[in-house]
Amino acid sequence: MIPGISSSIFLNLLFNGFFLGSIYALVGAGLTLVFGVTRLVNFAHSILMVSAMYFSYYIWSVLGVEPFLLLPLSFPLFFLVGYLIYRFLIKFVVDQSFSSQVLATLGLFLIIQYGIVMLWTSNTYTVNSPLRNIVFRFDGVFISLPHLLTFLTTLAISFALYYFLKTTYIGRAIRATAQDPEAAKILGIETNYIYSISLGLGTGLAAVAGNMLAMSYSIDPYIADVFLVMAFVVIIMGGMGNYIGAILAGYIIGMLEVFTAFFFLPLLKHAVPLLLLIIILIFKPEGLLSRRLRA
Amino acid sequence: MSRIPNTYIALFAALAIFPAAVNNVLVHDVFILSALYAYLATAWNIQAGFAGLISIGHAAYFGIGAYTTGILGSKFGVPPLIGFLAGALISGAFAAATSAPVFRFGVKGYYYVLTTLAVAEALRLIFLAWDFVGRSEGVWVPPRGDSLWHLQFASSRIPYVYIILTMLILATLLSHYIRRAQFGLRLLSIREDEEAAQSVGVNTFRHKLIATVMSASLTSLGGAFYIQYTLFVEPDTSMSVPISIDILLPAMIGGQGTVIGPLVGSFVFNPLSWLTRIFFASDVLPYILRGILLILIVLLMPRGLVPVVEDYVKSRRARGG
Repeated sequence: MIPGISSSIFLNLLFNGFFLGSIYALVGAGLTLVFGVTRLVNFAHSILMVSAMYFSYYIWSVLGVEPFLLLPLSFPLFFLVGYLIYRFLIKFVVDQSFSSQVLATLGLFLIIQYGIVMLWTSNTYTVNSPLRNIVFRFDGVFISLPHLLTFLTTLAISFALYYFLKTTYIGRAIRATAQDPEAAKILGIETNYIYSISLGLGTGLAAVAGNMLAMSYSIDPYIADVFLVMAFVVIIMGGMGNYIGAILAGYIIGMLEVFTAFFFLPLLKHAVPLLLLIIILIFKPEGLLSRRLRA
Repeated sequence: MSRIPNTYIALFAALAIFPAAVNNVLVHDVFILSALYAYLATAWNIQAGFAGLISIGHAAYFGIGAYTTGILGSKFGVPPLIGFLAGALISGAFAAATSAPVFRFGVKGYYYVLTTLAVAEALRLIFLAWDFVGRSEGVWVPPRGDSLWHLQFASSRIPYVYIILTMLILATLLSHYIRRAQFGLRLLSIREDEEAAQSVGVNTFRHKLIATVMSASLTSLGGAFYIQYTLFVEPDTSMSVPISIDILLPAMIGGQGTVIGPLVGSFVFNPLSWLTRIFFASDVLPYILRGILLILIVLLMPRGLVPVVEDYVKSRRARGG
């Protein structure tokens, strides 16, 4: 226990860290999956998460459906979005230099971000669902239902995806392609298909994060700016392409942010992980988990 | 010292005559914007185009230049010209301090790109939390009417036009000489194959560092000009990712690694962006245009406008004699 604060404050911070960490874990897992398989540095990843937030807001405002219940719909929908993005854009830059990839996906980021501004302006929206107000409390510790759901969903989905990658035929083909695309091609794996599936899965994970975030955060298009950078902090810390590393790093960054905000300065909560990233990039660019647990 | 090509001189002359011939404040504003971003892209190009060190964090240097001049002027009454120099020094030192470990430990490729992004974002977030630099309110420079000493001109845009045009021409000439000099050739060799360059005796660490510091100092002068022109700076409109994109986009469009590409790219893109804003009466569409252009350039014309036009002219000459 840290001296000077009560255990209930500490536990509250810890649970907040688990919530934020879950979001970072999901976003990072998606981005690292895409990178691990296709070697694509996808700068559009975070704006796809924000698109899912708007999607859940839109459905909620029109039909009144809880963002949480939307998960079975938004995952396949954004899987399709990722698949199409691969077919119509990424396919043409995946073999080019990293600077081309960075610039093309930044371009996509701008188009989607300002497309959102055109449709919904840059005002802030909030999903005022009744779920938001359900809070479990015991002994001065508060856990809101959306936070709990986010944590449980993240655990379930990351295990499900891990299992999918380990056991199914497509999962193994994805891992084979990640290890050696040329060899995979020779063995009869259609790598372009595998790449598009990976981008679909990565985007789907981002959409799940967006859905969960929409339950607790207010929504505006510029959230994507922060997450653009933070997603890279997470995946570099976890080792680029390392699925389990990204999930662990997501929780570490989440905790770091929450505790920085409380003990130091709320405004510096993103700056501290960034400074950490710079240090990692210089001294240990392969990430904290040096053994590649590539999923 | 190599000869300056006639095409450059013709371009400079056209740019010098145009604002004098068209006496319209709006046109002058667009011209200043285009020249400023042409200048910034030229500075970016020395690092990214020549040495291959792609940066998406140049807004940091731009912001440092603007803030240094603004704070020295508004809080300590230091004349802008000294602010310009101080900004260039601080920015250069900042670039050296952040880049030296990065180059020393061999951070390359997308890891390098992400470092530039992380440094700029960290700086923006620190500025947003820092009282001395005004947090999100930023820094205001008190208006002084027309004053050469304070480098402010309220009654006409013409002085601004020619200050930034002079800066642009000097930067383009500097870029031209670097490109032709041995230093520039070494930078190109680093861009093409760093290990090969090292094996033939190029001190890659030193060359990368000099290119980065030079690029950072030049960029900060652009930032210093910007605050003299707008009299205001805040973190989100000076150090954010969109500003870094605006700095690199002209070079991408015109042709990164070419001397004149950033200039051509900026005078094509910025008027186009402005026309989009006016024509569709939308502040949003110019940003979508940026996105579309980035993608189109990467897909269709990765080398940029200038090399494509040059090739076309050469092949015409070869055929037509």
